[in-house]
Amino acid sequence: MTGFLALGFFILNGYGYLTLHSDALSNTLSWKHILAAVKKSKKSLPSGASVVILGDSIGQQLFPRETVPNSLISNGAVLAVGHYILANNAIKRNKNLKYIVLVSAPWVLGHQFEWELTYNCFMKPFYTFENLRHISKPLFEKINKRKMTHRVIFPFVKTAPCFSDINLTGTRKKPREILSDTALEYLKKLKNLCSENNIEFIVLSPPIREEWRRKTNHWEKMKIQVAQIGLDDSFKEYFKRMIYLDDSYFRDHVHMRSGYIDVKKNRAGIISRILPQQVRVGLYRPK
Amino acid sequence: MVFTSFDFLIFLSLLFPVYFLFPQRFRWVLLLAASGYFYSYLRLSYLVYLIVPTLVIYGIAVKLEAMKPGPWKKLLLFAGVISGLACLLLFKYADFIGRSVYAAGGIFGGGGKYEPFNFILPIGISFYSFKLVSYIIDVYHERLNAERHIGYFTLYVSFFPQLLAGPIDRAVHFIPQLKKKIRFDYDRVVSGLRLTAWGFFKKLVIADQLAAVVNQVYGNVHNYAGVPLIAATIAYTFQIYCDFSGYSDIAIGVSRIFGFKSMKNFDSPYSSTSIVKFWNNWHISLTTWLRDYLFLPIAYAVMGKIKSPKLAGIKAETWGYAGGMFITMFLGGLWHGARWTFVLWGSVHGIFLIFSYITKKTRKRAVKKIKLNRYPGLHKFVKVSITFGLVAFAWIFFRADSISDAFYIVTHLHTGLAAFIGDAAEAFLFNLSLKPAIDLIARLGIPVVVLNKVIIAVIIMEGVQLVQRKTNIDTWFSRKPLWVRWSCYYTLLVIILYWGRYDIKEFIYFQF
Repeated sequence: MTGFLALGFFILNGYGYLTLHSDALSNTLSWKHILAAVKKSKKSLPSGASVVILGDSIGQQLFPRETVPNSLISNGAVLAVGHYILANNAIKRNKNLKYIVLVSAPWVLGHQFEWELTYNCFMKPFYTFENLRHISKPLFEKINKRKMTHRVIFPFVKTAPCFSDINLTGTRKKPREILSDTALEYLKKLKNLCSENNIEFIVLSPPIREEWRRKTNHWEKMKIQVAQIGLDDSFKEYFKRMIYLDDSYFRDHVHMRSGYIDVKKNRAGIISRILPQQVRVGLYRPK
Repeated sequence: MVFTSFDFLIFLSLLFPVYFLFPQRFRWVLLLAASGYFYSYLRLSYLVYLIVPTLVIYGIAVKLEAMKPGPWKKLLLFAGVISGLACLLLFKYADFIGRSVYAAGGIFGGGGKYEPFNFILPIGISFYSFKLVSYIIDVYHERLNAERHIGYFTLYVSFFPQLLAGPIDRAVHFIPQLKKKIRFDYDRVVSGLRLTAWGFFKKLVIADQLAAVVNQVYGNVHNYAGVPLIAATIAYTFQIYCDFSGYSDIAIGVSRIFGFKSMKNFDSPYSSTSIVKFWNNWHISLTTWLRDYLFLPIAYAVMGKIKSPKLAGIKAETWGYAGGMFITMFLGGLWHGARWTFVLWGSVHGIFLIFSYITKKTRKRAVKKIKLNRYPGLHKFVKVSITFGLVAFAWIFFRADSISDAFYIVTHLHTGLAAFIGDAAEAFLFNLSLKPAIDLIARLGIPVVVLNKVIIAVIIMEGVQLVQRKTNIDTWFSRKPLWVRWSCYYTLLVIILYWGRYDIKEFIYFQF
């Protein structure tokens, strides 16, 4: 019986491992786009590339990972810790990096770890033996609150559809107007990581709804928070270059309508407004 | 509790060791408690609708056995049958009858609007009601003695593996097993586990994956015509088989683990060479029930009414068969659900069976004339294909959401068929391209990679069934070397866990 179980464990995890590493098999995973970002982060960027772009699903509309070579965009549910791990992978493999740009809507940075998308979008792709060293004590304590969550470290649990989801929260938390604990911790870590490698860390916002400006008083609380933790440098352009659009430009109040963003001129216009000149040069003309 | 839930796996793995550690004479208590928990897990009130008729039938059966034949005994039998069916009639058919009466009233100039009761139908009621009815009739006919042990009788009705969707086991077969000593038998437990895993494979890997195609097309039939309708109908043909036979395999397998032999419910029905044989191999526990308690009494009654050997030039026997068969299939259709689509499905099968009966000799002559009988392989292939086609055609009425949808599908099956075949053949022959087929798959709402998995799974299933038809697969498989068996177990495990779909929580037959 023990032999049967041990061999079963080995076979099931073997198949899971194969699934994670085969494009054809991983194609059926619900989080395949995040896996694609992880895989891309472990490859070298085109020679001479000096910019890496991380970000959420709105950022993906501006810098699609599939077509922009510098883009390692996943989604907002990977949380700042996911972005940190992706950046870490990219820095290790690309010695010429000068800028790491995080394109994320402000309320996305407000999402707590206890979010209904965290299990499938962060835990499955990022909770691996390899990444354990990036999991801080406070974060580990959060994960530890649901004991069964740890099993996701095995490839079998990550990939088998019978382990589809664990709702880590039970209730859907409303978007926040301040940075979450996890964001605070990992944005700081990301900043330090970049400093250690002589890389500039820049946070930028994709276009958001006009309503947010009024609701948050142009992110007054977040600005104070950012100053308190010493991230002003990275957020220097964030609030200055923030674009507010009318709700009619959004298909679901969050993502821009494809009829708008898929027009080359519109996308280029937004990119030129939010992205500083020096970064744009690194992004489009890698040496 | 649903077989495909983690809760059930936990329930089973806790119950199994406790059961074999329990003293033999009290095991029925454990199983009864487990069955009660299993059923009430879905909804506590369901237990009431199960227990009350069970106790009533228990009492009536004991009384019935003590009575002498005569009108009072018949009356009591009638009361027993009505008691057994009361909940079923009330919960399942009250609104159907009400709506139909009001609709008929509307046709004949009546007015008013029917206010439905909207009862919540207790899951499994159609199955355990039929167990109760068969029991009371068998006691009446003295085919078995009324069971005095109320615990055994209640367990017969409520035994958890059979409770939600059968097999509709007979008391004469099941109750004696409760009285026998059941020892732990490693081979039997392994065989039960194998069958259970095979059931999960059919349900999760084939049926639930095909549900995507079927629901997509049958949910929006008017958006489709021709090949997609044919593809969805064939997909449904396999879906319903794998869903229900998968359930039955799990039920029989779990029963076997606990030492009980359940009656077989399916025997490769889609390789039947005639409609009659299809019904001998499809949902066997229901078919034999309908044969014994409906068809035969009706057929004999019809024949008894015809005094001369022939009526209107047709043999009394044929009248008996046709009358009995049509009424049986009509009611069999209605048993599946209180909807006219089910009635139509049953009636279509009734017509098939009657047609098959009256044309038997003519068909034999035709086969001889075209010399098809000289090629037994080809002859069998033709017969299997025709039977499969007819059965698949009838499933349209079963699955369609309404009669108008069913007729839309039937009248649009051929639309664009020739053009599609032409395009596909041209693309393949001249460009070695499968584009038309790939475009079709995209329209069906199932990714190509998933469809490939389903096709492989269906091939595996058909392969196993091919062996099953020739030999006892359990014995055959047990004789294979250890590494072969274990390789098969692990392959099956990987396929179930990785290729299965886990967001569909129910079995199709639960609604019946």
